[in-house]
Amino acid sequence: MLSEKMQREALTKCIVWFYDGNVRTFYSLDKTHKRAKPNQALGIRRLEKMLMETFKGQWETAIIYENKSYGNELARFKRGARV
Amino acid sequence: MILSEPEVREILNLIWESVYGKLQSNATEKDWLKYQDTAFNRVNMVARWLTRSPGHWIPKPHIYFHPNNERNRFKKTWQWYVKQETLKIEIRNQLLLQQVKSEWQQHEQNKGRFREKTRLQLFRIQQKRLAGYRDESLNQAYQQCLQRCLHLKNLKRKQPAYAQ
Repeated sequence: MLSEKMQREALTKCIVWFYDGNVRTFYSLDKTHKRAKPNQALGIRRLEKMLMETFKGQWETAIIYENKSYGNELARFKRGARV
Repeated sequence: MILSEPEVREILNLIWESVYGKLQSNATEKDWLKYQDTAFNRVNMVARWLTRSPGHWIPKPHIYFHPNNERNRFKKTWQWYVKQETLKIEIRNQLLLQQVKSEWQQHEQNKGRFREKTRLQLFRIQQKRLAGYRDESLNQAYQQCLQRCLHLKNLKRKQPAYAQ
């Protein structure tokens, strides 16, 4: 679980619907080191890696949004593939 | 491959940096257009290479176009492109020389397109045709071909005997 501050400062978030009924929200880590400039693409790539490797075969749907209220949808995953 | 908007933006920035050198060189517009053509050709070359055999692999775009990637970045295709282009020119030259050779042979036997012409006229025609390519190595090869086709060496050998 990330701290409140990091959740607020993340550029993207990922909502995952698992096969066992759980729904979880993950926030991206956008920096290569503590004082680096945040890189949104890096965060998206890391979330994708988490879906494809850490939680491989455990989720049905995952959607990546911008981390704002009414943020746009950036990527959508369905049963292990990007759509 | 599906990419979201921030990823596309990042990759385009990397291309701008690694392929175009941040557009900082003072080349003219014409040079840039030429470079753009070669860049497209290189991309097509890699694409054809990938379709030819599915076992081939290139890294993901943000790694492929990264300026610090020394191992398998896009810049490495430049060497490959140059090799391919020189090979094309060599083959073109070979075909041209074959044509020249066969024309001389046919001319000796009073056949072919140029049978009405004299040897000098045929030489001028060929010279004009080959000069259009502006290729020094082609010119040299043509000289050697002439030596062989017209038996110029034999002429030279005969000359001293004639002088005596």
